[in-house]
Amino acid sequence: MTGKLILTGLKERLKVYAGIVVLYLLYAVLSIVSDPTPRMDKFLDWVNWSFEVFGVKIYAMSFILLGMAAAALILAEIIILARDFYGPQAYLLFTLPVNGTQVVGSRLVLFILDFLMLVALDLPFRWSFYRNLLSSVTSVTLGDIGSFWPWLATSDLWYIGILTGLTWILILTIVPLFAYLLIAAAKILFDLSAGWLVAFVLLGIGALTGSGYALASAMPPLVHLPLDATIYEANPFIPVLLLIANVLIFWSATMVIDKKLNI
Amino acid sequence: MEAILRLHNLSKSYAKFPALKNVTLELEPGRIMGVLGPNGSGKTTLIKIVAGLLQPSGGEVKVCGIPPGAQTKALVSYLPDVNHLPTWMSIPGIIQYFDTFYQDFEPVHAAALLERLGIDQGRKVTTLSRGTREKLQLSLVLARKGRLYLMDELLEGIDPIARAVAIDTILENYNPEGSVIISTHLITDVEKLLDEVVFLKEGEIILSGNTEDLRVGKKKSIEGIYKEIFS
Repeated sequence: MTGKLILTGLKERLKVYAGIVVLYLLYAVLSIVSDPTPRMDKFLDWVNWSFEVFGVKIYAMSFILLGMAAAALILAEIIILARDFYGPQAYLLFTLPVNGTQVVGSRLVLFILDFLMLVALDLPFRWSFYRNLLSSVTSVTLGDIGSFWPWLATSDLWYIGILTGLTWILILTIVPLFAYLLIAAAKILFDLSAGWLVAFVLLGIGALTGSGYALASAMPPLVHLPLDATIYEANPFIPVLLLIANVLIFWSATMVIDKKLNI
Repeated sequence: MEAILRLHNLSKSYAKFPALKNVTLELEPGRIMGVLGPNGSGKTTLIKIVAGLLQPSGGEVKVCGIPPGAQTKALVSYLPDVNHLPTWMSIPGIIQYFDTFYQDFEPVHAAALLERLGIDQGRKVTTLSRGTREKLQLSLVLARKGRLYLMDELLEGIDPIARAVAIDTILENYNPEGSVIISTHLITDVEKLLDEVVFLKEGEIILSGNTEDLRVGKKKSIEGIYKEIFS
């Protein structure tokens, strides 16, 4: 059933995906025609709308494009979520013979597909940015992605692992938790029995804990990591413990919602 | 024979406002029950609880012996009082959607019902009028071989001629091993459909029974009894 829900969701998002791909293709054509930097980027550079991250110039146009694509996807997701859970179509979703885990699982996959599509489209345009970003968070002194191994220090591997882990924690736990929070809110509004508050509060705690630890864990390396650092002091067990805690919160919330919402 | 639907002391409150008070009833297989009452009497709440869309505040609900949930949703064919179909979909797309999710859905049967109700199958939902959308929803609901059909505010947006065709379509097409619950204000139109009726007033059952027995006992039509109770 999860697969069926994903396929239906993909069909719904097809127009948004197609629009974004066409936008990127247009930008690609523009980039090829006005090599090496599109005229628009040159203009934006002239008006000082470009900036540097890790020593790499980020042109506003590609950034704006990514922002537009991300905004379009987020907007589409919000519209679909609001319609599915708050609009008359909620009847259709809530009367399908599926359970809550299947509904949330399918949304999770769709969120991940959105994210992967954005990365896949953005990567060719700003490869040097990604390359330098990766180099800077690994062995900055060696810095060459071509000589990835064995020059990577153990601390670098931990750091990459932590960053990857945090990204996946964000995708896998907080997004569905918020989605569940919205479902619970919708059901509380539709159906004012006090029993729903248990699920609502539980989810609220889960979402806040998740956001809090993700931000707290992600900020120090991004802010304080010196560019020439080769060692990052981090306890690898912290994200693991937090991941386990959040998975437990997520599943207990799923159980409560399944029982309460009958979806 | 196991009852398709069993409600025992079912209650439902919205905050402080009681919508259903100790409703107890049973529905045997093959029976069509009308739930009748004025606006705000609790008809839609009752149907939504059975469909698993609302949680009861008290009492017990069993559909084929199972409390409402993902399992019963595979058995219950629900026609809501609003258009719940995605407007961006075409009619063949919706048929495919129902076929994907409901194991008891019969696409060929759905196409035949649409033809009978005079719906052009090449159109998108967004281009359909209110009445045509209702007929489309009715066709989809009847194309399932459900154990329990729930029809809320049935035929409200359909013109009188199409209504007669729709009523005949229901009579001929619902799963004879299943049961039907109909909530409507169009009592005259659906009276011939009903085997049993339940009159709801302010969330309470004030009269229920076999349609024929009530007619004979009260020497009135069901609509006459309705007017007597609620006017």
